[in-house]
Amino acid sequence: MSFVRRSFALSLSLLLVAACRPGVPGEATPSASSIAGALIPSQPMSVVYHLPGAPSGLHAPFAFMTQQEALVGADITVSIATPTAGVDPFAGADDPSTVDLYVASPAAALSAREAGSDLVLIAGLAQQSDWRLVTPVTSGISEITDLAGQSIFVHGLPGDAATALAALSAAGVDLSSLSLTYATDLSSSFDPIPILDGTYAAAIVSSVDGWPRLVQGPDLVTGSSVGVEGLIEFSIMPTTFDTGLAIWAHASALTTDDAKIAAAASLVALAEGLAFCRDSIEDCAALLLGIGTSDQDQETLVWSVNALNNQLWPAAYGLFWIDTEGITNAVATGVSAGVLASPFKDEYVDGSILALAEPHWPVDLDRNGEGWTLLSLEIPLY
Amino acid sequence: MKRSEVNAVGSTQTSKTATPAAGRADSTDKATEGSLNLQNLEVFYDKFRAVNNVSLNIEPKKVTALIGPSGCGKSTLLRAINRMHETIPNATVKGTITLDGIDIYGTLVDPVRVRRIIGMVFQKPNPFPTMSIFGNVASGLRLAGALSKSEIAGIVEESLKKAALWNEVKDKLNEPGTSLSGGQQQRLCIARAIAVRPEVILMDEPCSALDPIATLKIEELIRELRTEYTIVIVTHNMQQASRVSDSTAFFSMGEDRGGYLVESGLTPQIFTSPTQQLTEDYVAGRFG
Repeated sequence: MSFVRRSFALSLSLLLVAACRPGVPGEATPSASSIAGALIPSQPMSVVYHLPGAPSGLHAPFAFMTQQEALVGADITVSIATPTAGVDPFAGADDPSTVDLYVASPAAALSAREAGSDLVLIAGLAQQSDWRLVTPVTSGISEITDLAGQSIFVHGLPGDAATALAALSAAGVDLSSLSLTYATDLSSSFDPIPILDGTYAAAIVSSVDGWPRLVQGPDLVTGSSVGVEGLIEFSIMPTTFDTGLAIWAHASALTTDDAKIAAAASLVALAEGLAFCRDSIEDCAALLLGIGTSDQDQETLVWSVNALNNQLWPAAYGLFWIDTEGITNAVATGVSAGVLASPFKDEYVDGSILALAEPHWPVDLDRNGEGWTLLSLEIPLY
Repeated sequence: MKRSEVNAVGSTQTSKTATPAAGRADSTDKATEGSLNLQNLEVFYDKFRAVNNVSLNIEPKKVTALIGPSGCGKSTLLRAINRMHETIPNATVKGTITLDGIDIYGTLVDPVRVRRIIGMVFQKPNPFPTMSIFGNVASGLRLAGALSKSEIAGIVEESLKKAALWNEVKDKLNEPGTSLSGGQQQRLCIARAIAVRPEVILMDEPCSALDPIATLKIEELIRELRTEYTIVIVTHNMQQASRVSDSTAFFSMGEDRGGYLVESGLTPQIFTSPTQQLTEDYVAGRFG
């Protein structure tokens, strides 16, 4: 299967040339979102959001963010990057005018910390674990214990498999018997064929992107999509300790006021993007489709955005709330399961960015989404 | 479907090693291959009976049109014929459907194999968006080791030729399937269905999303394909049914909102001298 690889970052940068033009005093009537304009650094700043996976529903609210007025006139350029092959997914620019922010699960970020990174959590994002453990019905595997000694493909960062591994361990599978293969290039689309043709016995994939691509993948007998009935998903929820995607930064990159202001301003704009994708799901998908970077169709992107929303809303304590206690307890479970090396500590949280953003949420922004409900959508099949 | 194929149908492990050509009928069976018979078929969504007691013979190597007003169960019936209906939660089937004498709902029969032998073309063209034109047609031929690259290339070319698309795409096989026009995409989907060498092709309003010229091409293609495949087409278009089909089955909706078969027969007879007043009223456009 030939998958399209496109430079998402480049496309968005081109967009931002238009979106982030210098402001002309008195030109525009301030909108609610321009309240964030008070978050103005003393020098032009760049914020780069590093997102896992090819442009999918996860990317849509970020794409919206990059076009928000909140950033116009503040001399803040926001772009999106995806981890490419052979590059440390948590590597940032060694440039004081750039702030790198990483959207990653606590497990993945903690794995990076264990390898020496100084990542700190600056904002919560998803409230639920994003990972699924899946095998095709043709694999002959029917129980989670059948995966002992098998090969498993992980379309995620190191650490992202932790939740599934904990479930396997809890089921009695000797983790050392497994052969885990991580995606080498998360900027390219997940290819379901090596899972469907038996190259790997199972896959650990994200709910928002990898799962629909597997469901839509070709049945290698009929040539049509395998569909949900062509896959077996093993429940990993009873042992889930990963609390979902969060936003991280290197502590060393947050030492200046300008860096903090730029990061906070981007959160304000992102909040608008997330609310837009919650309230206008079709338009949100169309936005990403219009940029031309996603290889998925409108219906699939709508499904994907809906699935993303399910991880975010309703947000009882407000969008970006950091559940330090929950993460600490969850990671402790991961440590006791033997899939994470060290516990989560309070010092891994930097609440200063969120505190800086707090007075600047647009007045009409609903950060709780209490009325949100999941749409009943089916993954389109081919 | 040959009886020798039943064993393969009954085992997914065996099916992984079977080539698309495996278990094909010999020349003496060819003429009757693809013969469908529905007996007392009832299709349910939970307790709602969407299709009520349908018995129908579908002749091999002919085009059978299923016509009738909206909601009379035509598409549900079509999906039951290749066991796609059962993918819907709480959907069930009663009665029997046989293909070449074999009950496709038999306990040993693998639904995936059924869907290979009885292919489906949907209303809206649905090529895999991440795959090339070549990849789309080859998508059902990719079991590791089953076919060589040259064999796959040969089948792709043959399928695209049968789908009357080869001349239009032979120089751009690596371009995305979605780069084609709507009509071309539908022919690509037909090529994908043909590539796995089915006996039967089900078409659920295959032209409803297409313009008149693209529709004409698909209709020409249907007429050409009937020499090799049994084709069952659901259509709302009376003219299309009369143009492309050899036989027609007219369905209506009962008082319980369940669909039932009013009558079936050769298409000229159904359109010119139906036995039922309801059929006459429908084909004359007096309701529907």
